[in-house]
Amino acid sequence: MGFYRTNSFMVLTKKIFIILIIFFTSSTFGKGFSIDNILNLISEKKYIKVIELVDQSLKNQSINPNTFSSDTEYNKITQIKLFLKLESMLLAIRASQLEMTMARLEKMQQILEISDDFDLDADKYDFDRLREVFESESESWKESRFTFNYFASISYFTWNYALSLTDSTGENATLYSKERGPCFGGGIRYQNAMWGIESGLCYGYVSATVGEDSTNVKYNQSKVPVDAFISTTSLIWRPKDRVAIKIGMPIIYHSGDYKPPVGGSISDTNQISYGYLIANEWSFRNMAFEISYGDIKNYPSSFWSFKLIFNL
Amino acid sequence: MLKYFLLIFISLTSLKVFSYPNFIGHGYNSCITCHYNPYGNGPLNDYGRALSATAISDRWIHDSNKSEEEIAKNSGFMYMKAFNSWLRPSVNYRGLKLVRNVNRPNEKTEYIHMMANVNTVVRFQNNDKYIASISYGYAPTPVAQKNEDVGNYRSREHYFGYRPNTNLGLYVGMMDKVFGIRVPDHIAFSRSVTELAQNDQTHGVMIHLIKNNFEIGIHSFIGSLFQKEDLRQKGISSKIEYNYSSTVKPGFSVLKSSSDHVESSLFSIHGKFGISKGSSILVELGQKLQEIVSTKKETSSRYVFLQNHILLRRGTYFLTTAEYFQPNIEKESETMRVGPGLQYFLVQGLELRFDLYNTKNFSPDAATKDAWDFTGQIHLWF
Repeated sequence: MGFYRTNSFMVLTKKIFIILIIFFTSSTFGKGFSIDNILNLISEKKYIKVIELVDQSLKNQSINPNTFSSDTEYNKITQIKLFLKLESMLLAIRASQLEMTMARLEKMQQILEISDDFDLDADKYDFDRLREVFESESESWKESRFTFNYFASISYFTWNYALSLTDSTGENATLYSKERGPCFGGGIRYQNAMWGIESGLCYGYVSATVGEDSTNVKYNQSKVPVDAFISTTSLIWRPKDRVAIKIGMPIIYHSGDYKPPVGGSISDTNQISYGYLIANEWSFRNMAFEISYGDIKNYPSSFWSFKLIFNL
Repeated sequence: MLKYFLLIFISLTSLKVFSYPNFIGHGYNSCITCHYNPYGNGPLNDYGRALSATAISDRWIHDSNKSEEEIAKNSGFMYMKAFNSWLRPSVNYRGLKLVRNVNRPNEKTEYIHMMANVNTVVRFQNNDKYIASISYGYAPTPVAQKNEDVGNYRSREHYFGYRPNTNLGLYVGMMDKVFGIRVPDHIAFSRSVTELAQNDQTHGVMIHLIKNNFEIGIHSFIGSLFQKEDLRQKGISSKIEYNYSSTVKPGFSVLKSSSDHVESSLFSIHGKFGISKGSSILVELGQKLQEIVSTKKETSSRYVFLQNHILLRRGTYFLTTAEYFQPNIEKESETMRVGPGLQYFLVQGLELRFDLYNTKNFSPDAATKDAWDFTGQIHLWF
């Protein structure tokens, strides 16, 4: 952006000076706003002091300096003060005098939102330019800010599971257990705007249809109850806001209540296995939808999951 | 120089371009922004060509100093500036490499020339008020008609359009039926089950209306006049969509048609959503009721189509398609298909797309293996 690194700084300083001149020609300016005082503050890069003076001046007008609403009408002088406040906040943040916080971000956002209704001269009070700087600052802040989030999830998943069957004659065959159903759980995420890691666990109670993969053995069973625990740890990449691509490693505990044929047996009904998955996610406010697909070791098919995530 | 050689090589060794419904992720929620046909498909208009050259395609081939305006100016036929204001020619080619049953003993690979068309749009008053559009060229024999001589050179689209203003249009001729989201995935259940795929155009009259954020299309059709008369599906379809915002567009469609042999009724609801810059979700849920006239046997089927595109960088999209199909809602057999894909617009006029399809069949009587198919598409449009 180069906003403060180049001549823009000089332009900005000049603008602030012009604004202050206008302010001082107005009787609505409050105590502490002497021209010498403000110029000194600017030249000494004491932006926080400027913010304090503006806030005090707003308070003197019975205006809350921390909350702004589009329902309130702000007169021209107040609009100029808000411009000055926003600009000083951005300068202070860039000069590391002020730390960006969610509260400050929201405050600046509020000023920008109500500025759409302002009737100031756009050449003198260029809110669009401040908006660009704000977006750049807020984006880089969000990118650098790692946070923990908890989430609850409900998913619908499916896979094929392999079983070993031995019938009454001693003939061995592989059985396919086609399983699908809901999985309820939750997890935790540690992420910034671009990167992150998440870990989740869910419990699935699903229904299986079992059939043979052999012409020598005949076996079929439907609606077999299966319990599964699916734990997944994933790396998150957000190429754009509100969309994410993930690469994860699921670890699965599987236990099915299969009925063996008369005189025969079924083995491998319980197993812990692992695999990999690719997922993509789209967020809508506090919710997200995720589709994932991958492969599980020893499972004779792919793994799919369709998940709704609720950020807590 | 290497870039140009590579481009020529790719062009000679290999696909067709349209603006797709997923471009709602870029804020384009109506096909008419980029196409002469208000429901997409077919030739791009001047704006569509410029858009495909700039916002949609990668700009690796262009010098970094070349402005987007300059690229847009040269987005006409064969990368030229428009040479007059009344004629808009274009050529389209789409080829498909299809690998069925990947990594199985019965794996089968084939290359299909899906289309090689010459298109011309005539703008009678040097603007888009009165237009005539015709596409003619090679088309493969449809699988369902492989034993018939249907001819491999034919027109899939030709119509006259009258657009007295931007909000109203009347189109007469051969076009795709107005129904659902017109995705380019011909094998999608939402296109194949509904018989709205690449060979299902029909002659008819279509009215397109934009009013109070509603986009409404009504299409009355008499079947393809190139088909035998008893096979022609005659009927009416309509699609109504609401522009909630530039990135949210829900809608629904209805279609009723009949021939001497089959009667069909279709209904679907759909939504197109832009998620963030360039990224989108398309979703369509539909049901079809079909009756065999001679036996009076009725079958109802259902489908769901869900596809998302994530813009990785300009010109490159990662996509995931998830589909569901229940051929008979009175039975428990179902098919689901999920797969990742990559779509790359190397430059205006050249699109590559790769998809992997993993299909699972569910039935209460059997547990079957998954099926895997791969498709690689090349699409050229100049």
